[in-house]
Parts: sequence; structure tokens; C-alpha cells
Amino acid sequence: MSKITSYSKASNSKLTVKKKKKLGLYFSPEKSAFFYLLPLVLFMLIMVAYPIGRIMYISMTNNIMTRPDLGVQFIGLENYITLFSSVEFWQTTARTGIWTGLSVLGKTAAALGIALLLAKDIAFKKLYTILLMIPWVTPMVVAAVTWRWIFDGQFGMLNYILMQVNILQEPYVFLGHKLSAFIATAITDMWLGIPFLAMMFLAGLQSIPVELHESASMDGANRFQKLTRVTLPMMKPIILVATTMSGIWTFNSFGVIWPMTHGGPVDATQTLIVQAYKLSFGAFDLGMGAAIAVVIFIILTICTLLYKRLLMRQEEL
Amino acid sequence: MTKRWRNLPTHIALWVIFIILLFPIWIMLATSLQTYEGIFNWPPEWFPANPQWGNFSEVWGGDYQFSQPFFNSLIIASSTAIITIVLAFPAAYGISRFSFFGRNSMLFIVLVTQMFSPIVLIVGLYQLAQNYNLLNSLFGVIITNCALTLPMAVWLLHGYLKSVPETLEQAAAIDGCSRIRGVIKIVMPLSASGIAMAGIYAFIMAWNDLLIPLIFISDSHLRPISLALTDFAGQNIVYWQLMMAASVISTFPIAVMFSFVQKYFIRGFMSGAIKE
Repeated sequence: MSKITSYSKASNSKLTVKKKKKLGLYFSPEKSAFFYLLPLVLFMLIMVAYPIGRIMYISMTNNIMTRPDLGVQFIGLENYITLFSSVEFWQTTARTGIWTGLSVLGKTAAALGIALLLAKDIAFKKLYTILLMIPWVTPMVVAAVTWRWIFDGQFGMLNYILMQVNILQEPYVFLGHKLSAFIATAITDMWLGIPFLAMMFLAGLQSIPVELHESASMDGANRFQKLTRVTLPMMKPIILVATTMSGIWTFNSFGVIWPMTHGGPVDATQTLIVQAYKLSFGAFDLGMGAAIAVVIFIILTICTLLYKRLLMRQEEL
Repeated sequence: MTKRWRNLPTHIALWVIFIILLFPIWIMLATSLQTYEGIFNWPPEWFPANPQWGNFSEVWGGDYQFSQPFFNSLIIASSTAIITIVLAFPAAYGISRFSFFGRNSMLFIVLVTQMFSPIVLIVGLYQLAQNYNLLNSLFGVIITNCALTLPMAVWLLHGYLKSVPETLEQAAAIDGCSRIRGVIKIVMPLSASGIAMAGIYAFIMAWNDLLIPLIFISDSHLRPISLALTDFAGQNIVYWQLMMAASVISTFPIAVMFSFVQKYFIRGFMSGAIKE
């Protein structure tokens, strides 16, 4: 009998512990989560909590690895003052925002279009779903390198196609010009992210009750009205959750930008992540690099809080 | 018959979208079979007239020695997957079967960590890794990867374990089976597909990552594929046919794995994304 109660979870087992007042029970694998969580917690303390505490400390020091003669001094918030008063930092932040926004907007629009088409009652649905998965399966660096070849300034396919249809007269170095490099990297990132969003949206569309559409048609709604008045409002929660998630991934994107442009030309594709990498491991200025890493950490935490609120609101529905 | 052709406009729209979406894949495959001269042909050949299967063996064993990064990536990704499961499964079990102080905040920390860019951790880990000689070692890359794959794995397994009925364990307990034995004999077999999904997720993440090896690895013998491809593309003369052959080789293992779990992935999204 006692064995059965020990399984009836949580509050009950806590009560038994209090009654018997045996310390051992707090650690017993039968009755407490301690034993199961210990390895993970220890690992995360070393590999996550420690480095985050460490970047906060490093960001307040003058720590340039290539100049050991200067030593490491504690300088308080000086790095942050330098950072926040530099034009480059604000430019990078704005650029990161625009790049992320552009990519997420493109992905969402394309994915929604594909999902709306696939949600219809059509043949070969399975084949289409498999084809849709292909960009998702492609490793990020492979996608970056392949697109780099397509955008190649001399023999790339895009140059060939655009010259065939007479948009271009001579080959254009897409990754060598600021605006085109910015858009090219965003397109590559969109390409990688479309399948995930399309699958999420498709799942959302299939969960909308058919009765809603039927009653809308009975009330005389046309196709467009059904889309804007029924489908999209019903999809709003899932679109918000999926795009927030995708936005965070896009913000973090390094594997696309680095192999394609290394953040160039003239910083045109330098996002916060690329700048943090360049400062820490290009210039070896760990103090400044850590300051940007802390800024990234704060931005990501705020976004996650937002994401969690959206997720919880959706669950209430 | 009617179903097949009723939605012809939809099919046409889908075909147009998929032709654009799969264009890079076609370029990758077509270029990987070109000759060196064939690449600079104008107009480019859409179907290589004389496919060069030798490109694959050349990139694998020739000057690029792509077999080395391939095996490095294989070691990194499979070790990451194994360590992730060994640490994440018990934790997910603990979270799903017990309630304890700080359980909700723990789930939130897991959610935040899952959103981190590796850069947040690496700047802080770099000097620690330097002190313990973990720079230029696959082990350093593996454990850093684990820190980033663990949260999502815990999240996935936690969701999966909630659906494994507790009554089975209780029945085993009545028969005198200890909880740990019950977990090994009953819960683990029942959640095998969840474990496979979490493992493959960790494998794919580790296979894809560039930032961690870029910072940790400087010895060219220890480069994984992501770093090797980036380095090849940065050279003065890029042999695109070999690059694309290497890209096909890098995509292959992930595509095979994905095709096995594709069904679970879609189902996982369906149930995970929408409350039913």
C-alpha cells in the first residue's frame, strides 16, 4: 500500500516526508526528483550559469588578450559607456533589427502562402510535404555556400538568369555591394526557415473547425472574406508564437552570414552576433565582446519572456 | 480522378513555388557533377552532359581530404546526441513525475537557454576552456554543443513523458519493482521514439553549428564539416564542383536521419504546436 501512495506524486509525497522527517527521503530516487535532476543541474551550472556570470564580470574589465602587458583591470561600466556612445553599435543594432524583420516577414509570407495551398484537399499532399522539408534538412553552412555560388559575381546562376531576361546587361557582384549582400543573406535565411513555419501554419490551418467556414459561406461570405475574417483571426495566436520563435532564431543566425560575407562588404551584413564574434575573437578584445554578449543575452531574455506570454495566452484559448 | 485534377490551379501554384524553393538544391546537385571547365561555361549546363562522379571521390580523398572533417562531425554530433539524452532523459522524467520547489522556474530557465546564441556562452567559456586544455579538442566542442541542445531535449522529452501513462509504473511497483527498474523496463521502451527524436534533434544541431568550432578549433585535422566548408569557400580559387560535391556529402547523413523520423517530426509539430 505504501508503495502505491509513493507514486501518487508531489504534494502527497511531501506530506509523507514531513511526517517521517527522514532527510534521506529528500534524496531517495523513489520519492524525490533530486536524483534525476542532479546531473543536468550540475552540467548546466558549469556550462550555462558559470559562463553567463563570467561574461558579466568580463564585460566590466579591460581584457585584451593580445596585450597581456596591460593586464586585466576592473573598470566598472566603462565598456558599456564606450559601446553605447559608439555610432557603430547603434548602426549594428538597427541593422540586426531590419535584417531580422526582413527575413521573418519574407519567411512568414511565403510559409503562409504554401500552408494555405497545402491545406486544401488536394492529391499528392504527401509528396509536397516531403519536397517542402528539403530546405530544412539542408545544413545551414551548406545552404550558405550553395547560395553563395548562386549569387557568384561571375558565373553564378542568378547572373545568368537575370541576363537572359535582360534585367542585367553584365554580371553583378551581388555579395560585393552593400544592399544586394544584405538582401542576399536575408534570402538565404528565409529559404532555410520557410519549411518550419509552413509546417506550423499548416498544422494550425488544419485545426480550424470546418463548421466555421461552412457557416461563413452560408452567411454569404466570399473566399477573400473567409480568409480575412475567419482563417487569419483563428491563426493569429499560432502565427505570433511561430514568428517570435523564428525571429529569435533569425536574430541568432551566424552560420548563414559568416560563410557568405563574413559580415561585409563594409559591415553591410554585420549583425550583433557577428560583431560580438569579431570583437572577441578577431580583435581579441574580450571586455568589449563580453559587453555585446551581455546586451544579446538581455535582448534574448526579453524576447523569451514575450514568447512565454504568447505561449501561455495561446494555451488558455 | 476528379480529386486529382479538380484543384489544377493549386497544383500549378505549388509547382511554381517548389521549383523556386528547390532551385538551390538542383544547382548543388548539377554543379557537383560538373567538370572544372564546365562550371565556367556560358550558358551554364542545367544537366551536366557528362556527369563527373569522380568529383565525390576527389573531394573525399584528394587535396581537400573531406573524409577527415566528415568523421570529426560524425564524432561531434553523435557524442552530443548521446550525452544530451543521458542527461536530459532523467531530468525530463524528474520534471514530469514529481513536483518540487522551483519546478516552474526551472522550466522557464530551460526555455530561455534554448533561445541562446552560442556566442553568449562561448565568450564566458573561452578562458575556462583555455585553462583546461579544451581548446583544439573535440571534447570542448561536444560539451558546449550539449549546453545548447539539452534545454530543447528536456522540453521535448518532458512533453513526451507526460503522455506515457503513470499507471503502468504503478502496476510494476505493486509487483515489487523499484522505480528505477520501472523507468528502465517500462518508461524507456515506451518513450523510445521520443528519445530518438531528441537524439536526432541534438545530432542535427551539432552537425549544423559553425560558431563553436570556429572559436574552439584551429587545428585543421580537427575541423568539422561546417568549418571546413567555410574555409574552402574562403580560399582564393574556389573549385565549385568540389565544394558542391562536399555539400552533397554533408547533407546526406542529415537527410537519411530526417527521413526516418520525418513522420514523428510532423506529428510532434501537430501535437506540440496546437492544443487539442
